[in-house]
Amino acid sequence: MIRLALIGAGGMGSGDVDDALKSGQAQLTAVADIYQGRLDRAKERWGSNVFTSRDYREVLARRDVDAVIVATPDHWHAPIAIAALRAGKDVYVEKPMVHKFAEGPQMIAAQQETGRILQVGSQYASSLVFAKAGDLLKQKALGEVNLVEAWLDRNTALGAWQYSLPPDANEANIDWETFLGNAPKRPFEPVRLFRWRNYKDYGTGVSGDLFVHLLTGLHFATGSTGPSRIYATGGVRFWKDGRDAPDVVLAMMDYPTFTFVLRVNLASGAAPPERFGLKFVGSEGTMEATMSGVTIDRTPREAEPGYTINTFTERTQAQFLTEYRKKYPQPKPSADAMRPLRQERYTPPREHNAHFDHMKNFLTAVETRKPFFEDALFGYRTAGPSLAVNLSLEEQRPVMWDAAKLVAS
Amino acid sequence: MSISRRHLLQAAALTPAVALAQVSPNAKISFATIGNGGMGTGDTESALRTGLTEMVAASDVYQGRLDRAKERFGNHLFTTRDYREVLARKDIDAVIIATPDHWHARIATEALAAGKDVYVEKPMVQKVEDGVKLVDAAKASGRILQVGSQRVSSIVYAKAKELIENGAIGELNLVEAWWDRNSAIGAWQYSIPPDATPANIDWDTFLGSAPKRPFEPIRLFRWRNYQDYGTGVAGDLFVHLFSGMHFITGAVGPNRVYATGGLRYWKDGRDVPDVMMGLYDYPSRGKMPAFNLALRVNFVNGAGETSGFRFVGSEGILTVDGGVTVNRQPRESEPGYTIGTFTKRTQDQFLDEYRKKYPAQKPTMDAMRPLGQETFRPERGYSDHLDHHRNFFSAVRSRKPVVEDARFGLQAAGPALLSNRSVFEKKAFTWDPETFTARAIG
Repeated sequence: MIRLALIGAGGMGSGDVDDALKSGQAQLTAVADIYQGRLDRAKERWGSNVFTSRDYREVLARRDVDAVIVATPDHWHAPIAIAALRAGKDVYVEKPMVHKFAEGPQMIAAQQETGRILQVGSQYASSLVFAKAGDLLKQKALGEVNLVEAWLDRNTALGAWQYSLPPDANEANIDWETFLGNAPKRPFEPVRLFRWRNYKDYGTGVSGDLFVHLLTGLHFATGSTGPSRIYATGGVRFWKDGRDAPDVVLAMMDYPTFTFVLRVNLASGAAPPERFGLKFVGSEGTMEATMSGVTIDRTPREAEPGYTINTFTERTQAQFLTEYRKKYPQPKPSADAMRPLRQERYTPPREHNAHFDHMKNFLTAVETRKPFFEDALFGYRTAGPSLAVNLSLEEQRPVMWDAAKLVAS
Repeated sequence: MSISRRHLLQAAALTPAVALAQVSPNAKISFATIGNGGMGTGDTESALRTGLTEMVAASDVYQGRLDRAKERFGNHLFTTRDYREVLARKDIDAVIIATPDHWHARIATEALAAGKDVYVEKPMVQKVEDGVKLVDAAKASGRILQVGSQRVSSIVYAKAKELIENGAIGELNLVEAWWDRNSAIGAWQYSIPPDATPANIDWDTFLGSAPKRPFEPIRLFRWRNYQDYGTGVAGDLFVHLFSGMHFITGAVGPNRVYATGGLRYWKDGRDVPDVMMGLYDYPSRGKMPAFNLALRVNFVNGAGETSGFRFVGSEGILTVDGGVTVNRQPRESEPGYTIGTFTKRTQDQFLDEYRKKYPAQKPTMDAMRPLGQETFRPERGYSDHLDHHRNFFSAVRSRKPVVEDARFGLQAAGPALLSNRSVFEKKAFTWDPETFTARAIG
């Protein structure tokens, strides 16, 4: 049994623990959070024998902890994950792996130096849908891919991160200074903690929360390691609740052979059939990968190029057609000549749950010491471009990204 | 052409044009087409279909198209390889300019100076600087100038405009428009006639202001593929999307432009991208809030050919293709909660307060929220192209201004042309749609 600790016991962290326990490979021994209510809740939920503390360092110091789940606000990911690796723990860290560019190389180095397992919690790396999509791409099911579009649309208060504030959110129950960490000092204001995604000081906005998933799906399916140039725009269009993170963000990323176009709209007034997905566009077809499966649409390329000869004289038209038909003989309308217009659909097994499988992949890596591929390097290859989106939004300019050196400029 | 009409035109040279330019209400408007390729011929047909016009002349640098014009529109046509001979004729009220893009501004300017009303194909100009001069020239001339992006005259777009103005989708935050193609002709591989010889083509006239080059007919017949003569995907297609979108929203232009893309498939010697995407920031204007525009043209879409717009608002999405479809989803009546990580006691407390604020709703028939989808379609056979020509020639007769005038045309062409610069120079640009000025960012 892997002895697991949770640092950051909010919505994601609690979901991660539930999946870990469901796997039967782990038990929960300790929980850290800066809000007392969540520590008390942890005992209600997972048993009163769970050790709880407002100080994550007390959790890292414990010998009965083999691995930790880091599910704090983004600005705490790297400091805690690195401290955990150095304390000899394996680490499952929520996405995005880091909050700042400088932290990426530090995380990669810490993982290498300690030799511990580090896995980032973007579950699309464990999704059968993206595995299938990648397989189909390898078989050239779409010809050459020239464009990939990804989107995630929402239209609700909770989807727009207006999470609930507990009525007992007072200074006695919350270690406010610890929450702030390396962020600018500010007076107590619980909305900034419970809805931390809305604020750049602690979160990474639409890009760190959601683009990073789309990047994970893309990199997993295509084997890409990153774009060379990133541009983004958007704004706070609807959810004007004091947040400083845009609720509509559009981005374009230049990969070597295709463009990756991303959209997140938290105020999308009507539901498209699929609220989340990636669409790969190739010369021989398109492929949509969504939670419900993979769909390929193919229109075979035309058998002849066609002509535009109406503006030539009738005599010239006749001449043109004679030559054209020499080159492209008139096809006889036959059953065999009909071109197969195809749609293929691959649906994952009903019981497939990428989030659960992702946790299981982590726990199995901890047991076997064979790391899962979504390690610190993979994690920064998706987090780096996500941060570059925010830099582009901030500075209103294209940002260059060196996918080999992992440096933004 | 009546004698009185000729007389008026001669007088126009001496007196302010606006006061004098009038076509007698019964006389047919006589027009000439300069550039008789695919678009020019289509324009000519729509112009004739209005019933308001008669065609008197055609000009083209390729002899075959002049001969064809006579075959198609009648032997009475005056034809010439030199457009200036057309402009010099007094019996011509209006000209359709459907040349390659690099000739638009010059011919349009000369046509205005010659007292003609002008229908000029999109994009209005190949270079923004030329556009600024053309806007001034059109204004000074008092002539009618309409740009040939027909969506501006479409009843479908008028319907979309009305629906959005009436709040059908709540507050607009995003517009997406796309044009996907998957064919050789869609990718501008137009046919080259077997008699495309130097004898049949005025090559130097074709080149015009473009760099001198030896005879190479593919560059004429597929001029869209070359930056020297065309304006790529942006000038051919983005400009339609800008025109349509500006008409629907009342916007005049973005204040920031960025585009990317590449030549991914149609590597036939062209020097323009076949996949291109742009992102544009529109500031708030009048009742319209700030929003973003995302454009895409892909000539290599293996699934097929589609084109359309999505206007995304806080309460619905309006799609424009052959018609208008509104998908509406009313906003949730209460925000919901995420309290699973609070203690049971705190959860109860939270719920007490929450339900005071948002009383639990009894499931009633009246409480059901209308999830709506409505589609509006024009009658079968509807042609916005015909309406656009009708609007132009009606204006020629009434002397009332057109919607898609030079200013509108440049407000659509400007960000399209800037998109090309963005791709080629790999930079983002600011754009001022009132002064038509751009500045590279960074």
